[in-house]
This record gives sequence, C-alpha cells and structure tokens, in this order.
Amino acid sequence: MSTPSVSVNRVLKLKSSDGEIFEVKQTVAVQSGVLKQMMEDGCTEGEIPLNNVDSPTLAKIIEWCNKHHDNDVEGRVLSEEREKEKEKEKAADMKKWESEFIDALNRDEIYFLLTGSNYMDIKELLDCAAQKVADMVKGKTPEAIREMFNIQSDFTEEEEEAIRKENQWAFD
Amino acid sequence: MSTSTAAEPPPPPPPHPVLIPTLPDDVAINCLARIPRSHHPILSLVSKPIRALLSSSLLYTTRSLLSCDHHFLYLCLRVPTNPSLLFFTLHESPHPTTTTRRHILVPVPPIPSTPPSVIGSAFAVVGHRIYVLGGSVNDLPSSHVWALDCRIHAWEPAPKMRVGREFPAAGVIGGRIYVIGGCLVDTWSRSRNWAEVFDPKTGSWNPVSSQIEIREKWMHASAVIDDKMYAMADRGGVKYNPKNQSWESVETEVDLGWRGRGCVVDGVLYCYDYLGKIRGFDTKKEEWRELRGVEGLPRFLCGATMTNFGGKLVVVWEENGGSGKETGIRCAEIVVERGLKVCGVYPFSQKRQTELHLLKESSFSFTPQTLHHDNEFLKFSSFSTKPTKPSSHSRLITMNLPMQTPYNVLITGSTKGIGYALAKQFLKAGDNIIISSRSEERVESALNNLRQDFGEHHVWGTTCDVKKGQDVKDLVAFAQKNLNYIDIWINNAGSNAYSFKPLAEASDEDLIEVVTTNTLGLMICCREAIKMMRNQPQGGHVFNIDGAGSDGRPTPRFAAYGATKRSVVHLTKSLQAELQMQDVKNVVVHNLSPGMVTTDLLMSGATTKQAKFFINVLAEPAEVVAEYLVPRIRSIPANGSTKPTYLRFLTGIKAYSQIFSRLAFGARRNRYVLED
Repeated sequence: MSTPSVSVNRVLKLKSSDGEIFEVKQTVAVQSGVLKQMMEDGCTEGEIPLNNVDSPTLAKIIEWCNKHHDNDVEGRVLSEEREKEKEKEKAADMKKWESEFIDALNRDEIYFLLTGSNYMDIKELLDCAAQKVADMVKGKTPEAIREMFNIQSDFTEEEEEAIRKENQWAFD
Repeated sequence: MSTSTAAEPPPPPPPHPVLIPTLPDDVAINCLARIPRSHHPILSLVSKPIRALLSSSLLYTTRSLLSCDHHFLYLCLRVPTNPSLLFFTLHESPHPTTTTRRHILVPVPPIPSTPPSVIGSAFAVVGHRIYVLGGSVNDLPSSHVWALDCRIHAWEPAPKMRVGREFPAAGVIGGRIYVIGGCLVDTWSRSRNWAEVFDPKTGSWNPVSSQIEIREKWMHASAVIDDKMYAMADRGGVKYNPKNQSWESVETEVDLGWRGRGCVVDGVLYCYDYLGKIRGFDTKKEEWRELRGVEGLPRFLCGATMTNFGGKLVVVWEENGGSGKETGIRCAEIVVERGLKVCGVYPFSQKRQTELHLLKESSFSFTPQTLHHDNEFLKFSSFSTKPTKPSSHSRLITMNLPMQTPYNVLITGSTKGIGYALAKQFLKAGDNIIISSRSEERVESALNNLRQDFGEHHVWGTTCDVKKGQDVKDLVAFAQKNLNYIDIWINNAGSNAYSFKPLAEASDEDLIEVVTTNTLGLMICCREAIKMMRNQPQGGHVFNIDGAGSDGRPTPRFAAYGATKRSVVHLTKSLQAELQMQDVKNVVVHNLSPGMVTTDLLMSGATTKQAKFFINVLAEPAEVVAEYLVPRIRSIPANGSTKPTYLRFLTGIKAYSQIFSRLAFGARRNRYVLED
C-alpha cells in the first residue's frame, strides 16, 4: 500500500507522557512502526499521545531517528556517486555515533529508552539498547547484576551454593 | 502494550515471573538473549526466573532470531584413568584477561546409563543436537542412539538404529543422518540395513538400499562432501548420493590420500598426514595439496583431530602443561580458502583448569616438536595396494566354501612380541594355534603360559628356524598331525639381529641373520604354506607381516632390515600374481602391518632422542595391536573373501579412532622409553 499522506514537509506532533509536544517530520517518523501504521491509517491529525514515553526519552528517540534519517538520505546520494567503500565508512561512522549515543546514557535512561523504543516499535534502537544492556552484564558478579536489574535474590544460600558448584569453572 | 517486530520472540506465558523489573518481559528476553553463553553460569545465580529462562528453548529461539547464536566446539575424549567417554565444550572465559582471550573446557554430563566401556560410537550433529550412534560394548555392537541437547546439556535417548554397529560411518545430509557399515551382513536384516537413514523430524530409521558387493563392515573414516556421504572401508571406499540414491566407489586419488578422520570445510576434504602436515583435496584438480600458511602451528602427529567449526577449520591437539603432570588441550582456528591457502590462524588455547583434573593423574604428554630427517626411518608405510577385484566366479566358489570357525592358525616367531600377542588374541576368539620359534626354551615357556590360560587342546608348539627348508616342512607336518589343516598362516618371524648401526659397521653374521630370516625364511614359509593350502578343500590365507621400510622410505641404521621388509611387499604381490596366473583361487596371500609395536626388536633401536620420541608417540603395546588386527584377520575367511588385502594397524592412522578411544589423544610421553 502506498502512503500518500507521508510527505517531506509534513510534521507529526508527538505528545510525551509529561505533556511536552515534539514535532517530527513524517519522513523521520516512519522509523517507528507504530507511527508508520498510524500514517498509513490516516489518523495522525492533531497531537499523538505517547503515554509510555517521557519527554527526556522521547527527545533521545527523536535524536536517534533524525540522525538515522539524515544518514539514509546522505547515504543514498553517496552510493550513486561514490564507491562502496565510502558507504562502509558511513556505516562505521554511524556505529561510532550509536555507541557514543548509547554510552552517554545512564542505566535508567537506557531502560526508559528500551521501553520507549519497544512501545514505538523502533527496531534498530531497541536492538542497540538491548545490546548495551547485555554488554553491561558481562564481567559482573551475580550481586552486581542483581543491583543493575533491581532484583532481589530469591535463592536460598544452599541453592546458590549448589549452582556455584555445578558451574565451578565459571567462578574461578 | 506489546508491539512486535520480526526479531522479537513470542511473549512468554502469562504466569511467568518478571525477569527484570521495569522492563517488559519481551524486552528483557531481548537483552538477556544477547549475553554470551559463557556468562550463563553467573547469570543463572541472579534469580530463579532468569535461571529458568537460560535453560528454556525460548531463549535459544530468540538467540537465533537475533542472529546471536554461536557455534560451540564439543570434544569427546577418554582419559587413561577413566574408561568412560567424557564430553566437554569449549567456552570463552567469562573473566577474560586483558592480553588474551581465555578458553575453558567445560565438562558436559556423561551419557546416562551407558556402560562406560563403549567404544567405536559414531557422531552426528543436527541443529542443536549431537547424536551418539551405536558403538560396541564388550565386543557387541549396539544399536542405541543418544542425543545431547546442547542448549541445556541434557541427554535424551533417541530411536534405536535397526542394527547394532561399531565404528560405522556417519554423516548428515539435508538434516538427515546417514549411517553406513559397522556391522557384519550375516543376516537378512543386517544386510538390508547395512546403510540406514534417520529423520529427526519423524524420529524414524529407514534402510538405504545398497549393492551386496559394497557392504563392508570396517569403516575408518567418513565425511559429507557436496551432499554425498563418503564411507571409507578398510578395503576401498564408497559414496552415496541421496539425491538419486546411487552408490559409487570413491576415487582412488581421494582414497590414497585420506588418512585419519578428516573434515570438510567449504567442499574441501582436509586431513592431516602422519608427517604432521594438513592436506586438502582439491576437487577441481583432483589432487591432494598441502595446506600452506600454518607454519606457526606445531606439526601434528596422530594426536591431533580437526573439525569444521562454523566454516573454519579447527585443529585440536594435546600439549603437556608446565608441570609436566598435566595435559593441556590446545586448538587453533584456521580460516581457509578454497584454494587451500590460509587466511589467518588464531590459536586459542588455555591450559585446562581444575575441571580436567582427571587428566592430571596421567604422566603422558605430547610435546609437539619439529621433526628432523633423521626420524624418517620410523615412518610407516603409507601406500595402499588396491586389491584387484575378484571375478564373480571366484566369489561364487568361496561363498560355497566358507571356512568354519574355530580357525586353525599357525604363526611363526610367536613366542614373544606381536606374534605371541596375536596367538593369544586368536585363542581368546576360540581358535586353535600352532606357535613356533627357534628357541626350544621359549617355545616351551610360551606354550606353558598359553595352556594355563586356554587349556591343553587349543595350542601346540614346536621349534622352527624359518630359514631352514626342512624345519618349515617339519612345521607343516607338525601342524597337520595336530590340527589336520591350517586356515590362517602368519609369517611373523623376523630379525634385526638386535643391532642398530650403519651398514658399514655391520658384521657378516648380522647381515646373514637378517636377510636369511626375513627374506629367505619368508620365501620358504610362503612356499610351504601355499603347497599345503592348495591341497586343502577350503584353501587358506597367508599373511606376511611388513615392517619399517616396507613403504620404500629409508631406514638408516637398520638398512638391511628395511631392505628385507621392502621385499616383503614385493614378494606378496608377486605371489598374488602367480596364484592368479595359476588360477588358484582358494589360497590368498595378504600383507599385514602391525605398525610400530613395542617389542624387543624395536626397543633395541631406541637410543637416539628422536627415536625415543617416535616410539613413544607411535608405538603401541603388542596387545593393543593384536586386539585390533585379529578380528579383521578373522573377518576375511568368515566372509569367504578371496581378495588379497593389506591390513594395517595405524598405518596412515587408519586405526586412529581405535587408539583414540583407548588411549585418548595420542599423548604418551615416557610410556615405554624415558625421553630426555
């Protein structure tokens, strides 16, 4: 199905859970599966309430989407003119930008970003944030991981000891 | 609200406790699935819901949807202190040091309720399951199949094969497991199911039809190349193409160069030869070529094994630890190109940690070292004499006159060493034996020992100097008096005059001794054996034992011995041709190679450092060799075969899997001779 309502100049008004309004180009907003669906269904008039996303998180999400949109446009122009190598360079630059973007966030910000990108269905951002969480787990002790996840241990001391024994190699 | 993208897993069942507070479960799983498996033990201590997730198939489905599934290397080994098969998987350490990536061998639970002594199982990998197929338990081939679910390291029984098998060929094509051979085709059922196929989806085994001529039992290697299943029998190989359900024989070129188990990466068959080089078969040029660019690795002897690890060639070998008491396992990942060039070698290694303490007991170790030309003399014969195809006529005759067990076996030079071990093994199988040697004293003591174990009426002995015609004629008469006829005659008597020195320094007596025993003696024995057997209705089989030098390689410091052993192969071939010319079809002359056996003869040469190294790495106790050879020798008259064969132990590492299962990775320093 074509999307006649999507045009370069038109913007969507997104309303965060704390009431702030963000304007986003439709061409940028299509990165969100949810917004894309709404555009296709023609129900993007007025403010679109995003009740699960607060304004700092929504700002981050829009920053991500704008960056990826710019890169897409630039990339398309470049790929017509230059060699594939340039494209690779672009991809590497983007990777670098992504990791800087995500590394600048604290734990809670990442969780909000995860929830928000999941809610808005932005796959690349969700993957990036999920990978960050996975990387943060590496090298941590069980106690540190619990703290990171806000989890209370539900093991008894005996159970914990048994599991440690079972996988002794990992704890040496 | 839960949105879905292609990469997201289906939502977990509702009563599932929360994995990570503040995150929806599908997001939490998306995060947790990305954590490498080596961190799972630590992660499993975080909470019960996370622990449960880690052993669920949901996690692995997610991993594969996220394309973060990894290949894992599994090792199956046996250690001298434990008869059971031990399974391990190689993990990256969760605590990497800054300098190198550390790898750890992590134990996997053993197969439940399987007798520990099972040997000769075949392995096949389909998806996340490793299948262990058959194997023999107390010499009885088993039809049991076990599957290891590598996601959760749990064993489950899989449907049994239609027949029991030991050392079969196995491979996976199109998600189905093909198993070939490893069983005698002495019943209708075994004949029909000599090859069969398992479909894990339906859980059923079905026979694969085959021609009767190709149904050999003993397989020494197998591989899947270009969706064809190669099964290498001791006497020639066959390949099966499931697409058109056709069988073909394996190209001679492939057969000649195929040593050990090998593996296939990107359509190229790789194996290591016993000189320690990795070779690959170039299908376009139809030739074996050495893999270039692996100079950084030790030159592997028979203690290395290799596999296709996610498109890379992985070589695993053993190495002694710093203390000398510990055996380490090292492996290297080799990125290969189809042009048999190496793109990169990434040795990843780590000395075993505590979980491999079983090996600590062992004083064996394997020190890879650069080989010098001085060592050439202890290489094995590597050529293969392709048996001439018998005419259908001769097959018919022998089929009508199969030999009856127990067999009557005569072995020359059989009061010690490999000859004695062979005699003992035949007796164990229930056969009747004539032993002989030059020394009356030794004949008597050997006879006493054997009779103590096997009774008065199965073994007889007499003196015989094989270089004296009358002695051998008397031996025949002695055999006929006690046993009426002889089915199997093994020419084992050989001499090196117990001296190892350059020919220029050898005495007349020594040279005469070597040549008359090994060459003249063998000729006389062959002559008398053939004369006797031609007159027996069921004929007979003569086996000539080869030795260092048989393959045409130089044997410095025992030049005379090597020259006589080279002539053994020639004599055998000539006799085979003569018998064919004379249309004698019931007497067959074979070559028999015990490889290197720790006998007096060999040990008397172990004075140089290199020689000692080789003996420790390659030599086997006579009993082990006899255990391997005797069933194979006996299978020849049992099948009514009239094909001349060249039965070899360890030659070209054909018996590698046997040794592997017995002795675990050929690491054996100081086993027989103290190395410096």
